[in-house]
Amino acid sequence: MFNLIKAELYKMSKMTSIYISFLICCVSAIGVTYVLYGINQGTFELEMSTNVSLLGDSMLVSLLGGILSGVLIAGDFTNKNIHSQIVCGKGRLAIILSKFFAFAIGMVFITLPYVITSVIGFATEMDCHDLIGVPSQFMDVLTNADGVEVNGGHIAKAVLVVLLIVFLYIARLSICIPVAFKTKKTIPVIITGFVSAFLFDIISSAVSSVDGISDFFSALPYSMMTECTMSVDTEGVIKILISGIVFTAAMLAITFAMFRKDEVK
Amino acid sequence: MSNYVLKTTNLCKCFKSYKALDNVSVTLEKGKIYGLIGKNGAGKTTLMRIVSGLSYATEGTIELFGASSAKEYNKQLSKIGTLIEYPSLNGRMTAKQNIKLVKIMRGIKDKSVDDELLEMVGLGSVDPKKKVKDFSLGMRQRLGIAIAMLTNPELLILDEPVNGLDPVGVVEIRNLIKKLNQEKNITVLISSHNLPELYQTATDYIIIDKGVIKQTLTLDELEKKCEHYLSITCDDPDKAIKVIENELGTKKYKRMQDGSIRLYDFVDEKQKVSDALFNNHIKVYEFSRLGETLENYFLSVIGESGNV
Repeated sequence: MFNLIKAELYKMSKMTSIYISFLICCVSAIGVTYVLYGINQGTFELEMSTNVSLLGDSMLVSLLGGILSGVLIAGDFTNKNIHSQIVCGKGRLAIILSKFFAFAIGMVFITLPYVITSVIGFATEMDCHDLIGVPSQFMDVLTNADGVEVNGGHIAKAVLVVLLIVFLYIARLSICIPVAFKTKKTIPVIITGFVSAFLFDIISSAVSSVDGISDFFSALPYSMMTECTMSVDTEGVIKILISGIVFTAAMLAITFAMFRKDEVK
Repeated sequence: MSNYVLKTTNLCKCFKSYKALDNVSVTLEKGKIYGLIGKNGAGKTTLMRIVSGLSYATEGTIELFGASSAKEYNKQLSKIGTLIEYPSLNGRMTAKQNIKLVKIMRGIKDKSVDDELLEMVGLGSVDPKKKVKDFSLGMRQRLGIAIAMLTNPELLILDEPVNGLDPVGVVEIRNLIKKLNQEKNITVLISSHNLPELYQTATDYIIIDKGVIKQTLTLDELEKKCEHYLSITCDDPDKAIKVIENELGTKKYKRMQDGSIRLYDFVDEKQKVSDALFNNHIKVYEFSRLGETLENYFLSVIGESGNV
């Protein structure tokens, strides 16, 4: 399976879309930070915060993550690269896992600009205004929304929190994997990646008063994202990890159930 | 250890109510080149896809290098090279990058193999920066064959490998397949619509129609079935036979029940035969060159005329 992962990474290194995605995230992470800093410096109006919130990670990472999984996974069915992977003889589970790990590494790469700006912003106590508009966990760390004292321990915690955010993004977007293996087409995967988070919010609100179901929804990585703040405690971290791992494992299990005897055209 | 590389027993494949393969039992012996012949939709690609692990049989068993359990079968898949329908290539990459991708997948570290393979399939002189998406169909096909051969496979499965190739390319690929078979003892399962081409490549033939194996035969058997002969009907067959034996010096003839003689020698020297018969005062009533063409023979096995 290690060879399959290496091959996926090699293939990803030749994908223009991942570099473009990285560039977009760089521009937006720096752009949002600059505007939030500018608001406190008086360079920008407060309303700008709402506008730039659209460039925040919650929108962009969902979209770019969907594109990444679409191109990386579904693309192989279009160009028949999947044939080579199957004939390798490593088994279909190894193919699914290798694609997931490559996707996860790709996600880390894409979100890297947000990770770096958030940690630097927090560690340097950058004087940034809170983000108003579309919520962003990365920006909450950057702006120190929880108002914690900045010291070595808290910087380490900031690193942990941003890594947890990346982890939850990977878990959330793992929903694209079964869709990619089932539809074998890029567009449905991108739509799933982008829409799933918003769809979850709608469903979650609709069932918020129903006992049991609301508990189920609050345990999903979508809800767990709001827990990823500087005030998260050990129990919270464990909850986040369990939520992400269980959800991802479920998505991979569904994918395997669908793909293990699937016809590959 | 068994001498066969692949053995299918009563293999069936159904797509809802449509039976693509119906009790297919074939055995591929090591070191032979098998030509899989059938019309469009006969089940050739379905069989190849099942063998390659891209599809699964609805019923029946399949053994690859003696392994039949799913786990063992998967392991044995690494011993085969495939080119099914279209080459599995990444258009954004160059030929070498595509080869490198499969090399990484298979854990092949030998760097020299890239140039050797590209040279072997006639892509050695292609601009190394040219992306595969800009390749012609023939170039893609060649690259697909190169990738199929990358791992020194023991079984090579090629579905219409000469599709899109120019006549020179067809000859090159034919020679390459034969060379690999002879030098490396690679077993080849190859399908093609080009029967004369297949005739020059394969050592054994599997004729499939509507998912059913109609016939399996060797090249010798096929040649016998398609053998051309001179059909001679005359007033004195006994005397004619003596002339054939004594004057023409051949025993490659057959006397048929209707009294006619089939002469399998001198097929292209009709004048010589007719002169010998005439000089011995034998009255010839009918004298013609007969025999099946390869296409006609396949069509007769399939039981219809159509697109083979």
